[in-house]
Amino acid sequence: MLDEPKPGDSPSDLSVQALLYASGEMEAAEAAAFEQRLGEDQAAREALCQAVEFATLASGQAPPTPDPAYRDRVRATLRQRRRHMKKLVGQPPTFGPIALWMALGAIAAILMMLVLTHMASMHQHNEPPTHPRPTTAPQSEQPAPMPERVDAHSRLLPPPIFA
Amino acid sequence: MSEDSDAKLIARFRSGDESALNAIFARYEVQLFQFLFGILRNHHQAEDALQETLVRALEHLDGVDSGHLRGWLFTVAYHQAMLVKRRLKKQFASMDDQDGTVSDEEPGPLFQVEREDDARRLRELLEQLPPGQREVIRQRVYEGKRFREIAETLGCPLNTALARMHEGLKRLRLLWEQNHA
Repeated sequence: MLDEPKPGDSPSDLSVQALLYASGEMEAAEAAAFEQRLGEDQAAREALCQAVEFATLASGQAPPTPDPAYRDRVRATLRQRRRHMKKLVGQPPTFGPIALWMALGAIAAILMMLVLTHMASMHQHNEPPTHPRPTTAPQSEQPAPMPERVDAHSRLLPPPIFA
Repeated sequence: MSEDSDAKLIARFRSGDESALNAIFARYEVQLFQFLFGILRNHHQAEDALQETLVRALEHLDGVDSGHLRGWLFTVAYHQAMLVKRRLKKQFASMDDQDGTVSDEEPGPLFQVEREDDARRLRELLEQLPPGQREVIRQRVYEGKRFREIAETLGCPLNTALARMHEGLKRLRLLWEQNHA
């Protein structure tokens, strides 16, 4: 028979906790805390693996292992998803890139319009006038009608009703 | 099993080497499966979770530091197990499942001894353990008692019963390996 364990031989608190957790006998709050620890503590994860392995061994069974067929399923899924990704990459640009080009085109058109408008207004302000604008002369400066024109004008008037 | 480092395995896998995948399986599947089994306590669920874990982990391998493959795989496995647990909890909530835990359809490894031959050998090995450890294992495995009941029966704290169980199983494994070597 083997010796009783010495005081220093006692398993770590983590191993004991893992054993209790794996047995499903941990209190709900404690189990939740241990599960949280499993999320970030690799030592706790390893302790759980060991607890499962030990527990299985105690029943005289080999440690639990997955059915090797799962490997083929992993391979098939990975291949399928890779093909799908390749297909996506090989396809002509879809709505995303088209929308991007449309937006860029719209921005370019607006910029072009702004530049043209600006250039046109600059052109109007800076260019010396080649043809003087017809100015409306003041009333007093209007040339007097020529006498023959006056006559012609008077001929067109109706005869006076009251002489 | 491949002797390549994790970094080399990752590089081989990225270059499309199928044998690298086998090496990754061989190196990590048992531990990951035991980890998932420990959380889910169901063989089929643990197997499904393992499959999804490896697919997800290998798909997103690009951002993983090659020195942390082990930690990365366990992290993905943890999240996968929690996802399964949450789904099951939702499913069983409507069925008034008290604690949301799921038991395996197969008998629990701690309570059932399926193979008579192995069981006989195990009993022989058990006799070589110190009485304190032997008694805890005997009550747990052969009588199917809960740890709290065992602690009460033996008049010791729960943690002492658990520590004896752990140490006893550790020694039992050593003896088993020596016996089967």
